[in-house]
Amino acid sequence: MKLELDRISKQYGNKIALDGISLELQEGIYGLLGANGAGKTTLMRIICGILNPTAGEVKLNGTNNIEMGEDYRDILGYLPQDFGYYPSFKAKEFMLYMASLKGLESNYAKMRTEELLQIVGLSEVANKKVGTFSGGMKQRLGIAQAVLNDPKVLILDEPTAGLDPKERIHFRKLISSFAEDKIIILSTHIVSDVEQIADQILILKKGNLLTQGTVMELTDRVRGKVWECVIDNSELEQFSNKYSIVNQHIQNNQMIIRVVGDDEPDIKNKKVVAPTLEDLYMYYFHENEGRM
Amino acid sequence: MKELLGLELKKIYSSKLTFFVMLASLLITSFLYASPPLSEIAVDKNGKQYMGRQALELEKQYANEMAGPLTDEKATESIREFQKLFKNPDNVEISSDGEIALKEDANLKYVQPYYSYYKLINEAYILPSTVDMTFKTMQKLDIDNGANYYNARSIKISKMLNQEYEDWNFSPAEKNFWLGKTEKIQLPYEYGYCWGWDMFLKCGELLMVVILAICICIAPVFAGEYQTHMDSLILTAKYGKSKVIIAKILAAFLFGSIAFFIHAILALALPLAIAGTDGAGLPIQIINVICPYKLTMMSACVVLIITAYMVLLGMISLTLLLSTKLGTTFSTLIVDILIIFVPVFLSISETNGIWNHILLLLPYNALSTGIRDDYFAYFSYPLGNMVMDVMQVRVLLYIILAVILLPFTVKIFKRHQVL
Repeated sequence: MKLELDRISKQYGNKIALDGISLELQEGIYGLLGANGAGKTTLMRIICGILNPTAGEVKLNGTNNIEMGEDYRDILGYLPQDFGYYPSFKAKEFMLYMASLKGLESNYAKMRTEELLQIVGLSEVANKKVGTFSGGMKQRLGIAQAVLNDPKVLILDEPTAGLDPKERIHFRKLISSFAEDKIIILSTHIVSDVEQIADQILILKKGNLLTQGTVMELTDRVRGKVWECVIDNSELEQFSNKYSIVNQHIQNNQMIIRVVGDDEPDIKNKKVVAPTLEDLYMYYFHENEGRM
Repeated sequence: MKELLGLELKKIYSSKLTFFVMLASLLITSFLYASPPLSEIAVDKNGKQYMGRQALELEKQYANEMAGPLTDEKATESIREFQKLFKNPDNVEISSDGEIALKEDANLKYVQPYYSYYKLINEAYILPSTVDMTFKTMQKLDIDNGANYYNARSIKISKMLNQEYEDWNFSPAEKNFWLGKTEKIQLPYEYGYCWGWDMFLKCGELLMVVILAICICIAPVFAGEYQTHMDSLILTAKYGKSKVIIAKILAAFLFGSIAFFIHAILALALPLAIAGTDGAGLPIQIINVICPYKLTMMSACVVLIITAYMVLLGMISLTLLLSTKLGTTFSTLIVDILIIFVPVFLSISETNGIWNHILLLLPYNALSTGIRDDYFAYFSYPLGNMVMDVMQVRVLLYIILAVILLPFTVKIFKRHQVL
């Protein structure tokens, strides 16, 4: 199975949201990283066929996704970043409604609904109205509906939004268990969501695909460019303006900062450390630091 | 599909909006259709006033005294009786305009109880679209050779069709059409009590409340999906651009139909329960002597309900289109309300017939049967040699509207972009 993005561009008036993105995706988990406004949601909507690109096309095994119509949607699972529910529907009813929409046979739909509600930890509230659910519960229900039809292409836009740390760990396990023979694209601006489960990381910035590769390949690009430095508390503001600081904490009354950049920081007490994906993210998005 | 339809239907009926709007419209409908019979006032021959059921009983008693076939002979006899009243000096006085008029007590005793009966007779002798509330025409009518009641009716119809109008003159095809219809009406008319049916026919426009209420409930069918961002999920699902749209449309029509008939039955049942079901088989000509439609009181009510239902179907279709196109429930409702209520403030033109012919088809006006008015009862739409009456055109127009708008709704939702 091959999902191709062929020179996808999207323009809203004078604003370019996506600028000629080309990608070829095979089975595996793809983590789409980017700051808010990078174009992640736009790209995902285009892949799902609910937003037309200004130029370019999405192809599955060589066929345009829009031309495929029902056949494409049949193998698609989608969790949008922001979506509502029918408050008067019970969780089970909502799942059965989505199952009908996805064309699942009635008995199979019931069985699958029970199974998935169990997996996402909602089986005890299956007969409760969705309107009474917390944000995290709604998000889990959203994940469950996305995989109802056992999709071959699963698009998850900010799937961990609203989930607590335990739920996020559970979610990562869940995605890993679904991943076999599927193309999963998972967009997030939370690096840890994809660091452990993504086979490939795609970094999107201002509508352009900056880079892609495995976590190892990408972190190698900033190897030797990440330092841990010890500074005085009073120097923090000065260094914050000068360097891209990934992290900071106080230890034994000393301020320890983690800096990423092409230039070695002009700090006496420093050492090169092994890079992480978060360092890479900051390397590319340091001007969006405030939004992290 | 059945499951989808059921769940789409549930989305409509289980919303709080639907609950409160339906509750309100049922209460309003009950009030609007129960209050006229309950507040009906009648005065007996001694001047004693009655209200509500008692008033209706009294009216029924007086109407039953005159009930039966209104033959030429009976009309002549009734006119003679009426004229005799003026020959008794105890009954008359000279009115302010110098004419002989009945004294109040004579009027109360001999005319008022049988007002609708005398009106039915008198109407045949007056010019079309004119009124004679004191029955002066009948008072002065020469009946030495009989009243020739049905001949007078035919003359009135002929005048109606042949006189010159500033807004619209009847074409030969229209004249033939109307003459053909009037010839089919069974003579003599059967007179009797039919207050409940008559009241329902008078209040056709009130059904607009029901239509508006239903439009409010279905306005979110598509717009609600956009507003809750469920459109992303629906449009990426296998049947999100096919079956679900059909299910939504069917659910809207099904909900609208059930809600409408519950309201319509309530609206008809209330006056009939209070005023009685008498008069179902009486011809509608007893409320307008030259009315060209061969209908009984009951069948006229059915025609009104069918017409209102067709208007509803057209409005549902329009609401669904607006819901997909405008994207918010609020803007959908604003346009709906404008379409429904703006015609209330538009008046008939004395010179522009085309305007009048359009005006009578607009939703609010379409709920008025027009059968009790000479001018509106003869509203026809010629297309070459083919002529259709206003009732047929309304039904046809709203069916076409209901059908023709749906493909646009489907297309717009299918092509909806999630921005």
